[in-house]
Amino acid sequence: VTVLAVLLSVPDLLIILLITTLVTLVVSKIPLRHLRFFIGFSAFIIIGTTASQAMFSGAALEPSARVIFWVIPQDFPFFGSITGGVPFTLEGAVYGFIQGFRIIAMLATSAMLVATTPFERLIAGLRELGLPATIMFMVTTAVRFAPTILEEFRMVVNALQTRGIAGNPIRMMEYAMAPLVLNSVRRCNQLALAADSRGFCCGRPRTSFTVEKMETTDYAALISISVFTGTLITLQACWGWFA
Amino acid sequence: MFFVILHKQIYIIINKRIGEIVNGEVPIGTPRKTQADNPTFMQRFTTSDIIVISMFGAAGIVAGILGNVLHGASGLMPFIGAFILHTLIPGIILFSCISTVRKAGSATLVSLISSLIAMPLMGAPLFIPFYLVQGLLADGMIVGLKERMWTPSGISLAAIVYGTVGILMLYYFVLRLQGLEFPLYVVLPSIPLNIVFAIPAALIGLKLGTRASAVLAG
Repeated sequence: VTVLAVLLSVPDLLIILLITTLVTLVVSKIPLRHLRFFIGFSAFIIIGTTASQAMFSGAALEPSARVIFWVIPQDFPFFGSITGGVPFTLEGAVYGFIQGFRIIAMLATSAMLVATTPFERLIAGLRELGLPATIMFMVTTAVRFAPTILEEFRMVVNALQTRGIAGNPIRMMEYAMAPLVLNSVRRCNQLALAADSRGFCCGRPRTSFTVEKMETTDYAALISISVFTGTLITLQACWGWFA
Repeated sequence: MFFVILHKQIYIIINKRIGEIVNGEVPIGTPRKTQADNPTFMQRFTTSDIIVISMFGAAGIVAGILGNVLHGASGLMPFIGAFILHTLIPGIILFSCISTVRKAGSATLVSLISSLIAMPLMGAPLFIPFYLVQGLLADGMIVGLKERMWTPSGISLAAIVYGTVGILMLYYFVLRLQGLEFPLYVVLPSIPLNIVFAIPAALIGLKLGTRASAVLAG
């Protein structure tokens, strides 16, 4: 989806891609609460891309673009002369609105991945793709560490709040980061000792509780998606289909 | 007796030369080189290094997810979103990690771990090369600056490179591939602004990393 989202430039094809990913997302039965968050977040992105591209995109800077209003007028002191005026144009807004579909298509695919695939299966899949064992160990440990770090951070913030230090975000960052990092590094030392005592890096092949194997359906899905992607890209590149 | 001693000496000398030339062996009597004799930044990763990098990778995942949740804001506010979400917070984590481990390769590894999990999960796989390039550059700076890297001026120089490349990658790679365009008068002022955010990130990272490496050394 990312490859298609990057390569497709025709609005019709981008809309088809978006609809396909959204249908897949809905079919994957993610909780309604998450779906509502996704819709809100997508709306935020659409507003962001539309607003920024209405001012800054190539379509907005075309001489034929229809100006709705001027964000920075041409005769505005200093900034007007540097920028040549920043207009909010209709063509730019439409361009930005359509470009938002790219980002949402990628987001929908990722949301579906998170909602349907447990972390250990994702990591096992990465290992099957041939990533080195040390990197996989690091990725696994990092994923395992993420909630621990959040918990540690919450404890540090609670400790700061009980001492009446919380409030200023910059001071909070300074006072919270040091104990967070130092406590985590102490924990890392203990974990390293445990790993060494269990023969980590001894050169023997490692085994895993979760085993992922490519099956016939996986190969079939991989081939069909590749053919579909290749066809769309070829049609767009060679014949300008949907243009 | 003389000939016996002479024979033994010639035998030893010839064996030493053959050993040096053919096998690349170290001549007898030469102190053996170990990992500890290499400069710190060229040493191999120990188990605790690997786990410390993973821990910073975990912090990078959290920061990456936070950054991407607020990614829409960087489209709406190009002057604020990008600097805090993609430079300040990830910068503190990256520079803390490399200042703790102090070995070449640590920056690439922490960037790889952070981006490999956080970015695809949050719908921004285009950020993987963005983070990787920043990690590779930081490693290049470790090799280039050697021990000078761990001084405030050295780490600030690395932060300038980090900030400049970060903003160029953001505007000309990530956003361009997402179809978003920004004119030169947005990109150019963003570079010094991004550096202004990158240097404190690097200095905070150095301070945290120095304390963390002392804890790691016991």
